[in-house]
Amino acid sequence: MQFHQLKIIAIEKASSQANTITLEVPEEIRSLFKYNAGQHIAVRLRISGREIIRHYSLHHQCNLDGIVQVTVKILENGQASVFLNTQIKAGGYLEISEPSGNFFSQVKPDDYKSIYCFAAGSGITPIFSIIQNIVQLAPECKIHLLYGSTNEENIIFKQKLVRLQEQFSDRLTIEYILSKSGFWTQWNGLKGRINQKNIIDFLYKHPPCAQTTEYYICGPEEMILSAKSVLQELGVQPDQIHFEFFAKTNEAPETEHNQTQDCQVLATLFNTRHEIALQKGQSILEAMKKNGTPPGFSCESGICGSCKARLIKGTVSMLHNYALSKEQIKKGEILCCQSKPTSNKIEIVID
Amino acid sequence: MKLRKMPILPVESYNSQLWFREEQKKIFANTWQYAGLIEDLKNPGDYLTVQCGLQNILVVKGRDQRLRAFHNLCRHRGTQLLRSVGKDKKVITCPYHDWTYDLEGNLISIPERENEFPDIEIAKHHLHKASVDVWRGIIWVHPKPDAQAINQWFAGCEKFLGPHQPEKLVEYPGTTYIKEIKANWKIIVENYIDVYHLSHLHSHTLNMYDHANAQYNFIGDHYLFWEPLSKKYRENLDRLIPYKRIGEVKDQQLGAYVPWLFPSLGLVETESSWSIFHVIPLAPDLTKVVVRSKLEKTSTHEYSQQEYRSQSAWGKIMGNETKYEGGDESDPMASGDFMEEDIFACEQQQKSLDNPLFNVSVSARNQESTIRQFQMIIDKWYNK
Repeated sequence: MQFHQLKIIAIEKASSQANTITLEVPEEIRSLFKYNAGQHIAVRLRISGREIIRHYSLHHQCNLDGIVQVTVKILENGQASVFLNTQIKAGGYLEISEPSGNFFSQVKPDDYKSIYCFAAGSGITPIFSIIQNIVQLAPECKIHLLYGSTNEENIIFKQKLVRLQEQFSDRLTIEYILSKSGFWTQWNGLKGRINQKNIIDFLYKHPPCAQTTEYYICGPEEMILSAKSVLQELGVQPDQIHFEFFAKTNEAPETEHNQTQDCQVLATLFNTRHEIALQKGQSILEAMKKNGTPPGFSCESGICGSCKARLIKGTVSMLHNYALSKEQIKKGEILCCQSKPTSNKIEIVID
Repeated sequence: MKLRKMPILPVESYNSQLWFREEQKKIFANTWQYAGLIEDLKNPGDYLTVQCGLQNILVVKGRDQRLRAFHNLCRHRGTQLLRSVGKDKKVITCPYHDWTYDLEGNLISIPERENEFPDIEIAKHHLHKASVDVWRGIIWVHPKPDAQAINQWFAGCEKFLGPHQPEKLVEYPGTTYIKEIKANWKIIVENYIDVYHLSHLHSHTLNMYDHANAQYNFIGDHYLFWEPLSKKYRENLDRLIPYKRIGEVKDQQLGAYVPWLFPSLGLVETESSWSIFHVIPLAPDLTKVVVRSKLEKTSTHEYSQQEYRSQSAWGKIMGNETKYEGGDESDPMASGDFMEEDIFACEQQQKSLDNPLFNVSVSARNQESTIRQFQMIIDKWYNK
């Protein structure tokens, strides 16, 4: 992954717990920073001697203006998010990667579609970008957003969402749901989390006009998995559901993943062949790093897709995969950080 | 002036079985067809069936609130699966041998499968898919699974329709009108889009609109029409309006929006009602017409009050005369009902087709250009 030094030109409050950071993209690299609504960039930070890489969704509206914007919410124990909310100033610089990611709007200008978005917490950032893109791009699409936050102060982009809804009132409906609305507050909206009941109620209250539907989900893993399974139980086809994980959680490895073995890895990395000995239990990425020949990588959680490779020979087991589509997997694409060999010889290509 | 020659279509197109069947195949099985209003399918499992040319289509609402459309044809021996309309289906079972499909069209059960169909690849017996969509509060179906997108089919039409939001209006009991008319379906459409007849056949029944200032045109294969209110009606609108004024219709938007959406659905969008006018060809010389109307939400009391006020003012201001006064009371021309007048004209025209002297010598330059255009569109589809 290629990083660039970008100048911070503004920092503004997006909610009581989140900042919006505006960065300038120098003229000569602007073509590298073209992106789709919903894609993200990585920020590389050095905090107390440690390197930390975090991904943030790009705001939709600044595409091509020579600036990029991200919003960072303070997370408990989130070193990077705390740093980005307290330790940076306008005029300073951040190391930023080129935009990437598979979670972006699939809508085209002439489309007649009903779009359902489910966002929780900072999961709103790519969703907000996708919504802005769709309302402006596709006048015949209708969008319904169910957005979960802890309390009213933590509704990120509240003002912007209200304005957007006023501007596109015939095409955009938004419902907010609060998990900790508090006893003394005046909250009259939905209470609770985005769960099966709330999703079913939401669909019932806002049935689709156009009958071609798409679903965009972003938030914590638990919320995404539950929203996804509810939608599929209701008869939504998997290829209509787009999602992106925001915070990873630890999951017990699948049995198959424990049946990995020592393996000889033949890796073609940008046209150079490497022979690497991989020890049982290691991921392909770990083995390649140890060999001193790592591919590009970033999140090491199966989210960003930076360490994508093509499997030519042999078999692997992937633990988490949030970056590759079914079609990509069918074509033999794997994520090095999540793949452990299940045969004693494999061959991969990375370019 | 070659354009003014009519008919463009031969007489057989209005009375032969051959033309009727070909139209069913070429037009009705290849275009988006009216299937119902969105409120007809409220809950998951609610379904309806509709004939599209030679094919019957079933539409069912899924648990995700989205509609699915399938050909109403069991994959076993072709028996029709569902009849008319119904509620709360969990699965679709064929009455003949109880083959059962889920609401996604997947075959899920075959009686005595182990013995009788040991080798069947069940996934290959999915119901044939059709297309379904919702546009302007109406459920539309198309027999082809890869039909042109409905917004493309109606591209450009929307801005010439009324400001009405049909999904917000309400259908009251007793407002549906069903009639079998002894005429070819195209004669009924031609009557619907005939601007020339409005001031003449309907001189006493549609006098609340100003026909002289009507505006009309075709967009794609669809006919768009609007005419303002007549001066007298507009000046006394509060007293004369038959039902509650539709909220979305602002003063500068008043008028009658009366499009014909090819091939078989008319809309009538006025200051106080919104109706669909669905033409269903049954035979070369027989057509069923279904009219469903929706009104602004109102209480029964308000409704009766309005009706009384309108009726008592109508005679004084607009006049209660009919086209032919006196004589036989059963004469449609004395009925004071524009539907009766139209039905009479259509049935008479159909009868005359058999007369050896029948021909249309000449047609009106402007106000019948719409009929010539419609016939050319039919001709285009017929020769596709």
